[in-house]
Amino acid sequence: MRAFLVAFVVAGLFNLDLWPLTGWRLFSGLRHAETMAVEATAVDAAGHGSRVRFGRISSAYRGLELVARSFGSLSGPERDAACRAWLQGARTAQPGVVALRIDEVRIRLLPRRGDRPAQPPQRTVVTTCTDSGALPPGALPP
Amino acid sequence: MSRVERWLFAPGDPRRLAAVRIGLCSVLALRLLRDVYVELAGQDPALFRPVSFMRLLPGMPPRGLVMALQVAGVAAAVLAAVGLRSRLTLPLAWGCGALLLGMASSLGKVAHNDVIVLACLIPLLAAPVGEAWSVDAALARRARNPSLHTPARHGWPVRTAMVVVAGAYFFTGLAKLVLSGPAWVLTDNMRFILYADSDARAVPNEVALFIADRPWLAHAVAAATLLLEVTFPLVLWRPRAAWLYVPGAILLHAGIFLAMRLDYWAWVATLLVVFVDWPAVADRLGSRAGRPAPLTIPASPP
Repeated sequence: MRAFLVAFVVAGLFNLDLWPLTGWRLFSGLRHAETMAVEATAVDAAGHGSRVRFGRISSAYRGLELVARSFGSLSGPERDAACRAWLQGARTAQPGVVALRIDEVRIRLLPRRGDRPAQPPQRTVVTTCTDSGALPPGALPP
Repeated sequence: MSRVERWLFAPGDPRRLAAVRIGLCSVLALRLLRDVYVELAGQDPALFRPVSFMRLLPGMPPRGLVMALQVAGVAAAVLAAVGLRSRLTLPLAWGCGALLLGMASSLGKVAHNDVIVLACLIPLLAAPVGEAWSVDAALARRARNPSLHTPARHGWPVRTAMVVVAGAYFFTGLAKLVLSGPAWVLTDNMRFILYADSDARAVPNEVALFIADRPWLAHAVAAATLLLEVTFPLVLWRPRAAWLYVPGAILLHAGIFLAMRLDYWAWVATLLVVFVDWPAVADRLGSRAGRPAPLTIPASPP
């Protein structure tokens, strides 16, 4: 049991994530006036877009933001596979989806207008997901 | 033996250990009853972000295996809670829980709500948890075969669990100080945490906005949070401090739920299970009801 306590303390002191031991990093990073989020927008054949909230579809898709933030470091096949998985998930909620746009959204939290930020968010396309995989930013789906 | 070890290995009440067994196994059973594991099962491997031993797997376990683990885990946790063959059922429940709860942490982010339950159960895995308030103890008394035990064996598992809970709060606060320093309190950090969370939701969170719109209040909340976390270990040296820190921590988690809809009920339950002297509560309730104090297994054979 001494070994367990030592491991618990070491993991906590040195921020090691050795699940089920952990570094206990909860909201420990400093937040700033500009924040970044990841949003998914489903596009149908007519070109209409609607936001997809993956957390409401299934817990299996809750890691969208974390995977999307590391998208640039993934290989081509890994990006294609992630895209097809997200597209499949979006279609469970909206069957007519032909493409899924993944945007990085920069939000200025201040100043405020009522309950929301006063300035509209700035969007940058991370990728567009189609049946053939991940399209580079700026490429239009076929 | 150092002072810390003398405290850690001091004798304890087998009923207190049993209360921790009952409480933590009940929390574990409830956590394993959720349908999130079946949702996670069969997740596309492209989205799998494993932690720790989960990296040995190519992806989330298949649905059939997950359902079998849930049934086995919940059954074992319930049996361990009632104290039937707890030397077997508790480790089985823990093993099933480690895999299932590991799935929930393999989306790219550790689920800390589950970690504290599993971590507090670790010292119980090798402890005589079934010698009081258990089916095994009742069967042993009926067979006129009370287990031979010494009080020294019942203290360290409970105190180790206390160290885990206190350490969890302390390291949470320490990480804030190490990574952000005093700026975690002195800047608009708390306001930005609350604004960002509210803005990410379809419906704004009025509690979060009430705090974030008042800088003085946001700074006070941040300061109180950090103070509670980094000083929580005081309860290990001054048990009476638990009367302040346990309600304070409950208030913290309640505030987090109201402001950010983050559900840490398992953490709150673990806190109460580990730090409340449940045998004393039971004795007090029993004396009020006019019943004699409950029987305990004698410390030495008759």
